[in-house]
Amino acid sequence: MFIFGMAMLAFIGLLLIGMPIAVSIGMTTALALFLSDIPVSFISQLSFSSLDSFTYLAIPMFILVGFVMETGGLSKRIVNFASSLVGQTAGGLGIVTVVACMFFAAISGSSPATVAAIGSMMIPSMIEKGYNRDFAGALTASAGSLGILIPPSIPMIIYAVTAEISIGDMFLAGFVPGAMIGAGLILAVYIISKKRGYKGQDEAFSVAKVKSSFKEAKWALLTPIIILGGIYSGIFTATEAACITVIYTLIIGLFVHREMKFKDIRPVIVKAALTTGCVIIILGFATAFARYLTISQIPQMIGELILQFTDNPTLILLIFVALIMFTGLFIETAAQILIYTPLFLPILVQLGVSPYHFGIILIVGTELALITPPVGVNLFVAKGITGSSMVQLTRAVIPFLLSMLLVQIALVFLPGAITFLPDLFK
Amino acid sequence: MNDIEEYVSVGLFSALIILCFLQILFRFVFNFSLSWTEELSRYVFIALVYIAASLAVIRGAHVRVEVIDNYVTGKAKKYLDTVIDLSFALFMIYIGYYGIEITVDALSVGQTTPALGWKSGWVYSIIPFSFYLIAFRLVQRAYQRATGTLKNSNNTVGCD
Repeated sequence: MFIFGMAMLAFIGLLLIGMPIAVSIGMTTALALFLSDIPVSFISQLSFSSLDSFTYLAIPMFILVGFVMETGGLSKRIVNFASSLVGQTAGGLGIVTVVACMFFAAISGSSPATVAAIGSMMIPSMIEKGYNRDFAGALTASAGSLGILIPPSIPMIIYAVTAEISIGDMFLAGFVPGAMIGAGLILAVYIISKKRGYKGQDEAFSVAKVKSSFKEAKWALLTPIIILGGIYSGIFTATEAACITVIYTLIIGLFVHREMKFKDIRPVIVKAALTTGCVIIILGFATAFARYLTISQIPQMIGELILQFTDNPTLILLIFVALIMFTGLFIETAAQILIYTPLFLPILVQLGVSPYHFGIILIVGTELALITPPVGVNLFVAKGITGSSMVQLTRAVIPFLLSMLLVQIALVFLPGAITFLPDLFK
Repeated sequence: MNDIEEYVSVGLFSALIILCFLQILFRFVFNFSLSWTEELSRYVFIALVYIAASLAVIRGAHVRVEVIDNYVTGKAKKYLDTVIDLSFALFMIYIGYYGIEITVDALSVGQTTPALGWKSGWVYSIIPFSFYLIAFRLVQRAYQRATGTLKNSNNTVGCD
């Protein structure tokens, strides 16, 4: 436990001087292994073996899908469809942003990709309509985080592999919570828009318009059906579904919408590769750290510590919500999942909590981490589009953050909302 | 010279998609499971991750906490960035060294991969090779920073 404490201090120090997160985790692990007399070669070994999983191949593919949808005109059609549905109410464009992010999330597995794709269209049009720039950026950063809660989801894949549970069921568990967070955000947008007088679109709601924009967007909207239908009917594994989605979205972009050219493919792949490199290098080192924790029996110690204090699973989950909120200021998705799962899941399962319930609380926690500074990738992406400062964006994100936190706390008390769908399909 | 990682990443990524698609194609259309595609695509994936990580070093794209940028600026920031790059490089050399050990051990035992029958040691050498490549790129950055020819100093792109 002393070594663990030392390692955590070193980790925070490394992060604060601006060392890349992946390396900070790697160096911390090396230090902890060295002090515990475990061979450091362990990290080298796990850099290979922890990635040697066919399931993880889905991650680069879903990253690529996000970029292809943007280039191939799928995102644009989704936005138009969402706009014909809900564009008329107060704060119309804001609500369109949330709904478009929800649709996009059902195809893309990444949250910053959702912010980038929807934000690049919605933020300029919101600003043009007189919405506050920071509000537009903060809203898109928050709604974009749904990318990892509404299936498919890259973090859910990492969690399901770590917790050794079914990816398909984990995906199903995300639907209701995703809809709840979406509803919470829409409510927040509505209240703020009423107060500030953001109006809806001038055109009235028309069934004809919904129909025509649906027709335009039908190929994009078919994608989630292919992915999820393929996985649940048992035809595809998650990786195969991801591969089919890449090819499907490419075909739609190249030949059906004809908005993507063959020369666009290379830059899109480079972008996806770059993102893959940044994300998955963290996965290798964080797995080594998680393994160190297990070898040193840190989870048991923390478990005993918690049990001395309480054996009420709801209370433990609430403590966990606070903890992940705090660490989420600094650490992002993959590392949090790999480290927290072995720390908390065994004791919670022992107390009767479903691994899907814990998984969703964890995933929502990582969503919040994406929109809390100083490290909040979604905020960075939104900042790149609006040109706001981090402080301005942070101030504007607070109402959305609170609304998501409230839903997360509600989910602690409502395991049924999470486990209902996976149970139904059993 | 600086584009090598980019070309290799694009090649590996494309190979990954093609391999995975082949596997699906054979299973559905020819009703025949290829045993080697899965194994090969896993190795291609690992190579892609670390070569792309090297690309991310060149582009200055690795995710980091940027709080310190508000307090340390100018010349001091340059020194700090150099210290960070060089310690990152040292770490890669340190872990990469164990990678060489593991590679050599696996080669001397003559262990082979299950489906392809390749020597495991060569497959494993992805780790030391790419870690030393990353270290090289970091030293290169430090050198460029010192001589004032560094592009892409610290841009944070969405990495998740």
